[in-house]
Amino acid sequence: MTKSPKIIQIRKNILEDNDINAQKLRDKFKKHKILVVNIVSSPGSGKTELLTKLIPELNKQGIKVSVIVGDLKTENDANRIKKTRASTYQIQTDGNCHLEAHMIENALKNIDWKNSDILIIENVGNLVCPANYDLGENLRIVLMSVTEGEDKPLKYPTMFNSADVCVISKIDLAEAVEFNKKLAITNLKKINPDLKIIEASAKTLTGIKTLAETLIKY
Amino acid sequence: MHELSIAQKIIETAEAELNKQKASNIKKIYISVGILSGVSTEALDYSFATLIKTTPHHNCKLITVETPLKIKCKNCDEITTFETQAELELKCKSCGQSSSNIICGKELKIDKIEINYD
Repeated sequence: MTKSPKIIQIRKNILEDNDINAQKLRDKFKKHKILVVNIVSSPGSGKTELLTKLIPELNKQGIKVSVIVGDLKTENDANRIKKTRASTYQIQTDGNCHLEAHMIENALKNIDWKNSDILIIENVGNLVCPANYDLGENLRIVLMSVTEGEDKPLKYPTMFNSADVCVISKIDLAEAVEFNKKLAITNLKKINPDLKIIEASAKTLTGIKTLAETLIKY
Repeated sequence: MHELSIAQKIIETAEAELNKQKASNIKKIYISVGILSGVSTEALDYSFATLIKTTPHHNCKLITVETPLKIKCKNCDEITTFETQAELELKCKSCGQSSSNIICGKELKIDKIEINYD
């Protein structure tokens, strides 16, 4: 006899597997007292350049840093970061538009993370997809460069809402590109009223100390 | 385009349940997608339609409910609802207080499935 169709209740997060993996990572990092920072932005906002200045500043204050960097292709970003002497590993996602928790778990085998105080994960440049994937981080930093336009937070609300800190990068170019800072901050606060905002420039080193102190105090 | 991997996860989850129930095929999959989940329902529909063709459940329908964003004001306890992302500003419609206290609208959930035994 054929049974009639049946409705089965599931009530499960679609990305539950990633959430579980991320929680395992978070527990592991907590055990080793390591702060984990996930840095996200659109491509070309200056994540890597910022890290090449932020890491030496953290080192100066006695903080050891390790780095995992995600890109679709090439080791270029890892090679730039390695110049700071931070233990660095490049994940090449080979087309995947974001990092997932299991990729971080695998990448840990290749860096000296247990010996660091802060693990920085530089995500794939993309303001959409990485927003959904918890990597076990304690802090999410989103970069918005002055060249991108003040309405970025309104266009990508999920990402800007999910961040704890926003770094307005390339602030040295603000005047040249007629960046309306007041409008940008209003838009950021519309989407995320609790967001901490730091203006920075990897070129002039504006805001690098403030960002380092924000991480140290966290 | 992470909708493709999300569609894949939806199908995998439904198939796992199908096997558990010892049923033969999936008829419908019901999901909830919050307006602040960061997922494009259009891209998800397209991805699902493409992937489902590669499974034995060719006729399976994806039924998506877009769920609103709700914030609860810490000042006056009032709940403010946003049906779309247009003109989004996270503040209490009653007292004007800004609020990050999101109670729903970021979810991405598989709610239920309808299965056949024939």
